[in-house]
Amino acid sequence: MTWLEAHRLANLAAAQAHGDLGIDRAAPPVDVYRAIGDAGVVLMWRPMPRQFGAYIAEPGSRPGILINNGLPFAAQRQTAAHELGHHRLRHGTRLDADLDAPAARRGLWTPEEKAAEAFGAWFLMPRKAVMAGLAVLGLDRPRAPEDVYRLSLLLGTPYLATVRHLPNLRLASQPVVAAWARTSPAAIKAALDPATKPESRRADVWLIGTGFAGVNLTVRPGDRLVIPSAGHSEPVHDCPSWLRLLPAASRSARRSRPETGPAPAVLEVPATAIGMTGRVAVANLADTGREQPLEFSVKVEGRPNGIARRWIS
Amino acid sequence: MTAGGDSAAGEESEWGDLGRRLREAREYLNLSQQFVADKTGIPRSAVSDIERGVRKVDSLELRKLARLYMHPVGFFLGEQEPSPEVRALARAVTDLTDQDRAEVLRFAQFLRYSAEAERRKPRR
Repeated sequence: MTWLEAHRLANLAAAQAHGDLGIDRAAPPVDVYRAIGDAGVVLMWRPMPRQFGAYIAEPGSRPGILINNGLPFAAQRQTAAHELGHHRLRHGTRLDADLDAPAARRGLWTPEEKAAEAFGAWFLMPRKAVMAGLAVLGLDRPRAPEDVYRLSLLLGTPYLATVRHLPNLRLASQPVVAAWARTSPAAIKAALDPATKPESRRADVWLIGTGFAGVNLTVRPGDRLVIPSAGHSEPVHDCPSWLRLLPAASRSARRSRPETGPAPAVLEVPATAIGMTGRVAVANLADTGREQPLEFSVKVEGRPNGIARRWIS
Repeated sequence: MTAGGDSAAGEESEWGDLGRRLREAREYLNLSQQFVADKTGIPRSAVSDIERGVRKVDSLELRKLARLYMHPVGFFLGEQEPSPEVRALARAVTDLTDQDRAEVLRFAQFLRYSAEAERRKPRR
């Protein structure tokens, strides 16, 4: 099976799954964990040294999906969508060890693996969800790796998987995507917030823009929200007390290049905030001309572990 | 009552083993003792004492815990052998690290136990 054939099959299968499982494709991120439960599949997260995930479907038993909770959060979601693909495509028990393989090795995958991988991409990144994410960023298509990174945060997908999916949506050409695939998320994050030395390589950097009004962001401990100043010394009007506003002085001292005007405000999500939700109001974002404060909400998620709670009665 | 130190010690270690299996099942599913207490009505301190083998668990409590943890009662009593299907899967799964393999097989066994528990639920 070629990747083209896999994508044709998977696109249809993912659309059917969205319909059967009540997914609103226009409201990313797609809730793949709830969808797995709605599909009647038991979901479990466990630490594993090497495996990404497994789909267990043994006769006389019940179906289950096991996910390595040591993976980065977006990779856990991608793995979950991949395993859901095995279920929806009726593949039987599958143990997936190397979902992060380079392109050359992926080309050697079995038809079932290609189909499940393509399903995962279409399940998490249907056109409607991607266009909704781009709309938040004020874009009709990504123009640079930074756009793809910011889009991947809104979709809850790994940067590389998002890059790879763009040609399927006719949002970027293969040569452009090949170049973007060589850009590391670490470099993008450092450019988005050059003033902060990150404590964790996995933490994400959310650059807030006008399109974020009314959006709900799912963030994790260590993540940072960068709010451009638009010439104001304090662009953050209101935010939950558990969000940590990083000190301006230390930020300015670490700026890699001299800039005019106040530095952006940076809010950091502490590890103690897992489970918290709150509203952030910011004022007069750069390049907008907006006078009203812009509000969005955040929800802090931690590392999942054990059985998905819906199975406990 | 039992006579002789040996059988008393043997019985103690059986309560310890039962408690250990209960604790391991709870931790596998990532449920806190308080959550288990809230769901079963067994006080949290009692759940803790049962897991440590210093308090006996009665059959109704054991049934509640087994139902919550989706394992058969016999599993906690040490009477359950791995299912032949899981043993067959174990033979087929050889190219994983030991820990990965253990996790996959444990999950496969749990799914089987959970399916059996579903089938045994009283129909209303």
